[in-house]
Amino acid sequence: MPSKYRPPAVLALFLDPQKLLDAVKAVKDKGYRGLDAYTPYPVHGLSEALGLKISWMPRVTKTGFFVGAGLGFTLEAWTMAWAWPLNIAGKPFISVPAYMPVTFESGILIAGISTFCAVLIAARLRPAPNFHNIDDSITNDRFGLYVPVRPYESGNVQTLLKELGAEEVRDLA
Amino acid sequence: MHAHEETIEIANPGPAVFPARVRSLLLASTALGVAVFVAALLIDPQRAWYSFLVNYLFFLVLGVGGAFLVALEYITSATWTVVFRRLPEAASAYLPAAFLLGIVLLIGVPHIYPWAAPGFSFATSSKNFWFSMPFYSARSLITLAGWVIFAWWFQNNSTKQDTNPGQLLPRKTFGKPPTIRGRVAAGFIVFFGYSFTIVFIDWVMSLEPQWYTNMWGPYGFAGLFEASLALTLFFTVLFRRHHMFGGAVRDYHYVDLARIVHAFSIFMVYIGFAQYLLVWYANFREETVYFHERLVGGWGVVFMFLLFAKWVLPFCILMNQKVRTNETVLLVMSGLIVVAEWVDCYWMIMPPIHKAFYFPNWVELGVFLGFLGIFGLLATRYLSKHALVPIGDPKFLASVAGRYL
Repeated sequence: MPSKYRPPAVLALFLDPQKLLDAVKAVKDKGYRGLDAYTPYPVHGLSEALGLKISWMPRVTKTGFFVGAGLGFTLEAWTMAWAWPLNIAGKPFISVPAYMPVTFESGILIAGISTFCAVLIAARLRPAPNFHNIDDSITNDRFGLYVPVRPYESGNVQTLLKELGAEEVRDLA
Repeated sequence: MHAHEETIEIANPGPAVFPARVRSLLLASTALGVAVFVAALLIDPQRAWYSFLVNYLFFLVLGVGGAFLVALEYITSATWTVVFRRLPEAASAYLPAAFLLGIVLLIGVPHIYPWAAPGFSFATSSKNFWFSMPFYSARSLITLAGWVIFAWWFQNNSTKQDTNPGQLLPRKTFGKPPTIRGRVAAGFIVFFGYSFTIVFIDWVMSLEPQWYTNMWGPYGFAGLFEASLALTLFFTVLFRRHHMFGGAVRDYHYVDLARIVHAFSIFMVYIGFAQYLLVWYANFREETVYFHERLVGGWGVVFMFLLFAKWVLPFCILMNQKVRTNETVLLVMSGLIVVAEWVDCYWMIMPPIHKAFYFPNWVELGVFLGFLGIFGLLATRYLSKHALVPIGDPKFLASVAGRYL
């Protein structure tokens, strides 16, 4: 199977999210950059420790909400007031309070679906036959720290991560 | 989860120290309120009792809301609220006074409620029984007494930890049976759910004796929850600005509090709109009377103010993560929500006697100052008797460090 080029890196697996957080800080203090972390669930304070910027994903959600809400309102106005006007209890054809639940729900629906798709695209989680998981245990009970290194640094970084409490340290090549 | 050891140096900030003028201002405010109330009773008893009810309800909501927030922390074994728990506890220290003032309110019942007027009779005998004075008084007093006892237990249980650190451990891990603290909190929440709905119907909804809605309890509860959280946020920011927490409260506590205020501003509009939509859609005369009175004659402006102050502004402004650590914005937004809760009480209670919008006058403001004085005196007394942060709580350091797991 043709394998893509992978930059040299070290993967450390921790049992405890707190140790991962401390390791991120320690490794950053040593001057290593481009760190990444793989965790089975979101860890408080990890994105701050990694120095990640605020994600652009909320904007997708916001846009999705307004598009969805607008579509929902338009659909109701079109069906209830234009395509087949119905006089219900003498209310106006476009009666905003009655339209609110559908507007709200369609906004939520489109916001949710568009965020879901945007996350899949942004994280490159599309189905791929040659997808290679970095380690199966990071989806279960391990907290992985990925440190890009130059090949000659690998030994030092492995020792450092071992000292920081990693259960397992491995070269990724 | 393994406990992580990180040295956090937190000196016990000790009891809150308030400037001497705070106490004298609160005493003066109480005296002024009593004087205004007595004067108003002589001039126009109905108006005096209505403004008494508005202010009584507002401060009662804040008081019992404090007890509710504490119970919520115990029942969910939350960590993040530990650091500022003394503030809701201090709010609930007002409840004994609310019990006594509740007895005063019972004297005013004939002046306030149409069903208490001589000759009034409901269509059904069960309703007549429900609104008979002995049953009515018993419900109010049992409810208030229950809240006082629960709030006292929570305060006592919490302050005992200051001298015996680590005692009365809350539930530490999942799967273990809850401690006595969690059990009492669960009991309080069940009692609170029923009793608050009943007294809120008795005190406010019965102002329109023929009108009813099934969303009444949730509506009052949503306002209570949002206002109590906002009050906690307001004083957390205020006290931290004056360096009273000794470094225990940090920026991420602001973020979390602002986030929950934001969330429950949505809950408030959800409940309010759910109540409004069904009445508006069904359009039955016996149901729309409530909203009709509260939307025409200038009261519609108050309704729009409530919509903006309780939902639109908090929702749009507190959504931004950066704004959630800006003290000025937090003070303005949480203050606005608390004010809006008072306006909500005013908007729910006043329209039956003022068909056109009626701006709060010296009676309402004077009685408000009286209640504010009593509330403030009891709350500051509680805070200056006990440490301002629950220093002996086993989860205290985790709460300070922001380790909520």
